[in-house]
Amino acid sequence: MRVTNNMLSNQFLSGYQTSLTRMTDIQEKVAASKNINRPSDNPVGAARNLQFTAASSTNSLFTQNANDAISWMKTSDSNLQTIVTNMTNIRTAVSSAISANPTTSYDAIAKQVDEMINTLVQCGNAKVGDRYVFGGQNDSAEPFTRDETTGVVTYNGTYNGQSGEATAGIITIQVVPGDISTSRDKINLDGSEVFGAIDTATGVPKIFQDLLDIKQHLVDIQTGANGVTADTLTNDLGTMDTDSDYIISGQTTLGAKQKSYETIKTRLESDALIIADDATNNDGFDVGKASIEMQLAENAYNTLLAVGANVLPKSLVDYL
Amino acid sequence: MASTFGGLNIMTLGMSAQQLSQNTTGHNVSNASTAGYSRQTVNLVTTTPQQIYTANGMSMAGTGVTTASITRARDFLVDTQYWQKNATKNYWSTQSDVLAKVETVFNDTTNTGIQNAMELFQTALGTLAGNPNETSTRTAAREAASALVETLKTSGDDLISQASDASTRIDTQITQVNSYSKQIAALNKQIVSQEATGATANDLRDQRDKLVDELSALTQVNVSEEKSGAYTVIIAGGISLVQGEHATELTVKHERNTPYGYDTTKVTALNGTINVNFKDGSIASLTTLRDTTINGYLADLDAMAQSLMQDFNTLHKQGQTNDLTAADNFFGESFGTASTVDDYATGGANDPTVQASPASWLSILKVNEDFYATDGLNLIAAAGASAAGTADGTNATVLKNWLVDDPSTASASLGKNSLSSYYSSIVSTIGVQSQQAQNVTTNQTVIFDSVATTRESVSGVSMDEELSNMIKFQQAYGACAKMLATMDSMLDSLINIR
Repeated sequence: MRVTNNMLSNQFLSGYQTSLTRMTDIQEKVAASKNINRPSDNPVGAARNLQFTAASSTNSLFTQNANDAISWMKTSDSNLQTIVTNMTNIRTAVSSAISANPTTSYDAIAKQVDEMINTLVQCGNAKVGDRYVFGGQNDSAEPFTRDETTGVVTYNGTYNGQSGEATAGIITIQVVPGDISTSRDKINLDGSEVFGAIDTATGVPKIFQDLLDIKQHLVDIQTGANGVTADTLTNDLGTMDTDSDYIISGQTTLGAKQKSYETIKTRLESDALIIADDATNNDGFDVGKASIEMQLAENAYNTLLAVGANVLPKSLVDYL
Repeated sequence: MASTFGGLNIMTLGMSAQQLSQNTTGHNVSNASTAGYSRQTVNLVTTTPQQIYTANGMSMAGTGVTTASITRARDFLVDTQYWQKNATKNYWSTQSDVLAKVETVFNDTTNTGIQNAMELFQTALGTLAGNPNETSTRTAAREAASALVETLKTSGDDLISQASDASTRIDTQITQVNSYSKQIAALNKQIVSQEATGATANDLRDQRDKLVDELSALTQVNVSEEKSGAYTVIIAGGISLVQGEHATELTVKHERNTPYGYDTTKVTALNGTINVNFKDGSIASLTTLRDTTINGYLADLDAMAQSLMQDFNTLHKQGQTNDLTAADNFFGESFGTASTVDDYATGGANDPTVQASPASWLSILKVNEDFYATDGLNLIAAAGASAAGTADGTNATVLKNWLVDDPSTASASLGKNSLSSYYSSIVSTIGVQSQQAQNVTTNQTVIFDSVATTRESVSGVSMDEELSNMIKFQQAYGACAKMLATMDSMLDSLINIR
């Protein structure tokens, strides 16, 4: 093939372009510390990258949700603990009333029980932030109110089975993907799960009704009104045992749920590392490899310039 | 018997022939860097010999040299290839350039694109599900939705402006085509008249070929040379752009695309009677990019907007507001407060979920303005249908899941894709398209370069070659002059015989 000066210079220019393009590419990758800077760099990798960022944001959402749920359940748990302790105290007080005692003592015990009911109401109105934890889905209004004169405690929250709505008391926080499951994602105990079935007519929870009855029994026993005897109080102790068991069983369920949320949280945290690692692997950027590539590209560029500088200016003119 | 002064004549012819050759070498050297120039050669032939009678009979005596022609080194076959490959190369390099720009619209590698907006919206809904009764989470959900809407719309606007840019470029390039075809026609006329005498109009032909080179970057051309020396240039669809002295003027009519509203162009010839469709070259490339590629991505964004207006709204309406009342639309306008409520009661066209397709979903996509009114945030349906209080966030979770989980039943807009997976398929499509365009461009450039090199090899000026010719012609000229002097001294000897 006949070779002309223009061919040399064209070839030099196109080689120069190729060489510089390669250097720019590597430089871009190094600057961003990423191999994939636009979808066309690696279409499959870019689409996979979207999955990793999506997974990562879902992961941080679920981690945050798990934290919220755990803090909610911790508050619930410590209040339930206080409730259980109070129930035990009431039981001790009532049992001390069973042996023959002077009448003033009955009054004192009745007052004590009344005071403890107030503590129970306070615990029942426990809050996380400005949300009531035992109010079912009605988390913005105080769930338990006590009438100052009659002393009757009524529940204003929602509870499962209320007006035929099976899930009316459930609050869910999701920490695993998929559709909501009211059993799996439930994090709360509503008023009826803590203080027993709510009387649909009066709105009074069973346990509060029981305690008010006991308090009344302590008053009545002094006069023997309504046929209240020491046996009645003994029966009341049985009722209190059942009630305490009811509360403890709720506390246990919640404790198990809290444990499972903590396990999930730990798993989410380790998943976050795996996702970050996968994302890095998917991109496959390696500083060492990039600097070697850069060195090679630089060498090629230098060689091209050196050869070009030697070959291009020469012609027969130089020797005539 | 040869004539006495014949020798002087031979040497004069010789000297002028060598001088012409030397001049042509000078012309070649001067035009070494002229684009489109092809080197010229002086073709020398002997002049008609003279019959002379010698003692042994008739002999043919040489009478010197003369110039038969000056020709350019050119291969029409290589030219044809060059024009063809140039059109293909420019088709792909334009694809690659424009797709690289389109790609930036769907670039999520720096977490600033549509994907990021969707993730923020998803996170906001997830947080809302856990704390449905808080103003802050409700505000966050509304604002994240608004950011998603803005990102989708901005991306749509970017694509629309790129489509309009393509039309502007087509317009400019048609103007160039018209200018080239006029110049080619004018050169045709000059060449035909100059070559009528039998000479070759080398430099004019070079100029004409250069113009075809330029033209072939814009569109595929089919060039044939008439007997007269004129070029006939035909483009796709059999439209002859240039025929003899006549150039066909192409006209561009601007139109507005429906539904997206970008500029489109309609190219016609012969006073609008014939539609011109280009093949290969940058014009065809821009047309395809605008009408198929960019339009297709706009349709994809539109489908995403449609799914938010229809599918998302449908789910939203299945939930309850914070006041535990029936929820309205999240995107678009409130069903109940739309200005032209004529069929609200019967679930008619004012509801985006049942509405027939508007021109462009993207253009009407917005977060319900009622959310910005006093207590408007309460209209966001975080609570599920069976919620009994404000602490229920079931519907927010359902909405959050809708963004990422593929549905089991196909939707009208996205099929069996979630918004997130639909978007990720757009990203991989544009990625593959752009990557392929880059690869083909690289390949086509290599092919084109090889044809260009072949052409350069045939037509290009080599300095070394010209310089060695220069010495050759210099010496030949010198020798002729020396001969002339010798002959002169011979004549001198003759004249001075006593």
